[in-house]
Amino acid sequence: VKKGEEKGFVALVLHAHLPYVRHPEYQMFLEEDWFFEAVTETYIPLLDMLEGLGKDGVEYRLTMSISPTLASMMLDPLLQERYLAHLDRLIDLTGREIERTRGQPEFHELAWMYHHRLQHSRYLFEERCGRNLVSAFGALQDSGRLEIMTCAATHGFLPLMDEHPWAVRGQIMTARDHYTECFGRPPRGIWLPECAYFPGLDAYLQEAEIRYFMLDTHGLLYGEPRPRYGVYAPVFTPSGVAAFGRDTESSKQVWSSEEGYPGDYDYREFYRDVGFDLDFEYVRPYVNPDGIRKFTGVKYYRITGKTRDKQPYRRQAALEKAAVHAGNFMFNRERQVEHLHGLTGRKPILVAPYDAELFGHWWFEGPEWLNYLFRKTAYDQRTFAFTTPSEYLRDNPTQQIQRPAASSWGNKGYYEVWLEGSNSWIYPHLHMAELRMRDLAQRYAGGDGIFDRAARQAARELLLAQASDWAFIMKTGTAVNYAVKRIKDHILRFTRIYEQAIAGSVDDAWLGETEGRDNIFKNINPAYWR
Amino acid sequence: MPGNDLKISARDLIRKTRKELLELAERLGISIENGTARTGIISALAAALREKAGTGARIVSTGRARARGAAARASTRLKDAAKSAQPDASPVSGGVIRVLDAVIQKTAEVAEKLVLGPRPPEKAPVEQEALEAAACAKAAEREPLGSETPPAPPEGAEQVVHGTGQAEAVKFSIAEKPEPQAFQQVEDLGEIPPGYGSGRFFITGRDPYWLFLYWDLAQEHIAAMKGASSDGRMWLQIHDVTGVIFDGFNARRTHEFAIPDGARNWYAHVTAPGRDFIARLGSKTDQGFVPSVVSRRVRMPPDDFSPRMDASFVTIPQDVPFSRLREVFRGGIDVSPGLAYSAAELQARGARLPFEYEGGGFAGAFAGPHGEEYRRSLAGSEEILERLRREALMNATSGSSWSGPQCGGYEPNRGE
Repeated sequence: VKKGEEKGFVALVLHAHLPYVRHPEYQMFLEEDWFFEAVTETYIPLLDMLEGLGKDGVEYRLTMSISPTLASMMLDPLLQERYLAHLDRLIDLTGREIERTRGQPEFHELAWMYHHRLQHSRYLFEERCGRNLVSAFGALQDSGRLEIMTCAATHGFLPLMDEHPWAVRGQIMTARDHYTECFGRPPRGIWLPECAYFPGLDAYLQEAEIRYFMLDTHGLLYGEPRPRYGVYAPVFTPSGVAAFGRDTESSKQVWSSEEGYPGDYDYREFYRDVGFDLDFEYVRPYVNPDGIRKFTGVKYYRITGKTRDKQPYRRQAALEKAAVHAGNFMFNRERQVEHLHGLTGRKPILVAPYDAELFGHWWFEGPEWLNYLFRKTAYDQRTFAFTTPSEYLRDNPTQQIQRPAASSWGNKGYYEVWLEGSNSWIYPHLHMAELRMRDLAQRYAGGDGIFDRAARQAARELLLAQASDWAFIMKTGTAVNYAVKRIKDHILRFTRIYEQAIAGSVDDAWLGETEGRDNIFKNINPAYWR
Repeated sequence: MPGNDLKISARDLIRKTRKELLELAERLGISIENGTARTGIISALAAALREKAGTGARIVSTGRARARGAAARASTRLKDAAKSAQPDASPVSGGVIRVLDAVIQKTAEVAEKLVLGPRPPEKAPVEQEALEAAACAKAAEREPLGSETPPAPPEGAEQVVHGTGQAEAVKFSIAEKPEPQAFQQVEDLGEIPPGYGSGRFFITGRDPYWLFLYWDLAQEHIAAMKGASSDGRMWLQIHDVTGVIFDGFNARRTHEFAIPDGARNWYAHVTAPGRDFIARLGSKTDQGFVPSVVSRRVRMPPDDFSPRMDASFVTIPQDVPFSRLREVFRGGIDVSPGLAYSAAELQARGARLPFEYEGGGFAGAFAGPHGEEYRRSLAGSEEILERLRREALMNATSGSSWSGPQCGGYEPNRGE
């Protein structure tokens, strides 16, 4: 579709985030797998797919947040090294799987598929990207088709910091600085952690020169005054930062566990994995050394149906289904855009945000679905065009002014997921640390020597403790021990630094070790917490 | 290097790959026969390390009772682990079982010594053994970390959670070449305090229906409030102050709660979307409520459309930084309500600005407020909003808007 001839726009948004998990004190650490799995199953396939589109000259637009914690893990040499070791183990496993499945053609073919995919991932990661995925995504952004947003520094839940402006500022300014270091330009957009908004948050974004963010549907819908175009146009918040609202319809089609595409019976079943299915002694070298079975990513079955009797995965059929689903998604967006255009006489924008890990990690065929969707949209229809929020705003800088409503995209739409019986105990500690951090910043930021180091490390510990992931994990009930320990460790390290600094005597050796442990945000600026 | 000890815990050994173990053995001058199973290497290394450690072995500070508990727990867990091991296991797992057996026996012995025997004159070695066994057991027992889940605090009256036994591992110190960056697996960080006595009183509208409050007060402060109350209790008042400047007496509505001893926070079910609240803690006397701590004012999130249906539009050029826009709009206009409002006002006046604009009130964005296009857009707007409201309500009532298994972010069922 020629620019200007379209009847509306669609902005796909992927939110890529993981909490900072890095444990140099252990040789292997189970929770580091979150990152390794996401790299193999989501980030490398997305990168590969987008590079393919670029090579073929396909006009696409995609918006993606890469949280500062995720970017930091991508850039960390220790994790890069460990990721390669992780890949090598899996390549070894799939090699053995090729042998083991010789008599079972339907699995044998899949074993080869995994083997090739992993070797390709290794090549992409090590040779093509020089281990640096951040630069690889940055290069795609420089090509003008991918737009990368930032996120709060450690995905802190901002509405529960609203009493302490410096805490909000620390999260946002640190993110902005880190983004600029990573991508060589300041961020234009931000993914608010959990889409969580409180009235007034926009002012901090203006201070950081951030031009837009996303909200869940009701954030705009219940804002003041009513949004004239629902969520099909952004609004300008009082500070002038634009807010886009989520389109429920397009989100649901992909995301819903029941009606959504990812539950199709031809797609790969997530929960059947050789790490759990095969003889323990056989998989022992590929699971945790202390004997915990875990996902390897080698999965041979399709969803099949609501049955425990799963049938072998058929790759070709799954890809064909992904193409059908891409066509269906495109068709529905065409109808939706036409309808909205007819209603208002304006070109609507549909904003469809998803967790990036849905694509590839949870929904194995997700990256292929995106691939088909971008290609079909470019060639097979003339109703809508993909866009990014900043491209849309450049072309449409006149919008309604509104104060959006407090909201999040969590269950029930507000703050409950992160503030309820399982996790509310963390907030007195976080808030106390926020107050103490301001004290440290006022005394020591901008100085030099060990007190400045102490203030910087204290800011790191506070940020790491603030990650919304810990409260989320406590609520959902998986890996709770780990989340509790992480909050406590960071609060305790913070408190020790605070107490030593205030007492005028900082333990240099211990501080050095802590800097090595929690090594995120090398150039952090504690002055933001003043 | 003097002063730089190589510290390896038993668990650390178990986590190492075969290759890493062989390298370590070489560094320690231990000969390992070709083809020795990984567990065999671990046993050999553990023995050698223990020997080398000798009197120099350092124990993470911990109490005798904790060591005893850890040893007893470890023993039980290990027995369970051994029970669940397959009988027809391969040589490798046979090795593991033998190691486990040894550990079980040792743990049991140590536990017995601690439980039955009088306090031995030299407690350190015994504790060390117990801890070491516990550490091995923990590693064998597949725990990612040495902290335990705190009990879920009850709603309404919840306590700050205390963690348990984080220091149940042992380090072996050997005067050897250190690894480039050796971190201790167990840091002696202590425990987070139950509170700080900071005097803070926090309030927030968690959703349109529930207020959440917590207080971090010194014990004496709470005792004083209780003491001043005629019923000996601390009281919480929650005031609906929508549209009023609160003077202590003019709230539109007040909810009152007697706070049970030990409670540190409160969820108040007020069901008041969009309304404003202030809370106070204090005493109830014959003369009435005497406040001691007053919260900030908060507004509950809305759960429906705003009654305001006016719309003003503004042009905000995207290539001009906010820092520059702030300067532009500061010219003769109050920017306090927000840059967008100031800009809209200037644009409505037709002010000369260093960029093109079409904003400024409703007319700017459309053909005109009385034209066909305007009427059409307004009707369309109503239809859109109604439909979105239905969807939003469905999502809110189904309670499952975006929490399907596809979007959790963390795998459920991780290896249990």
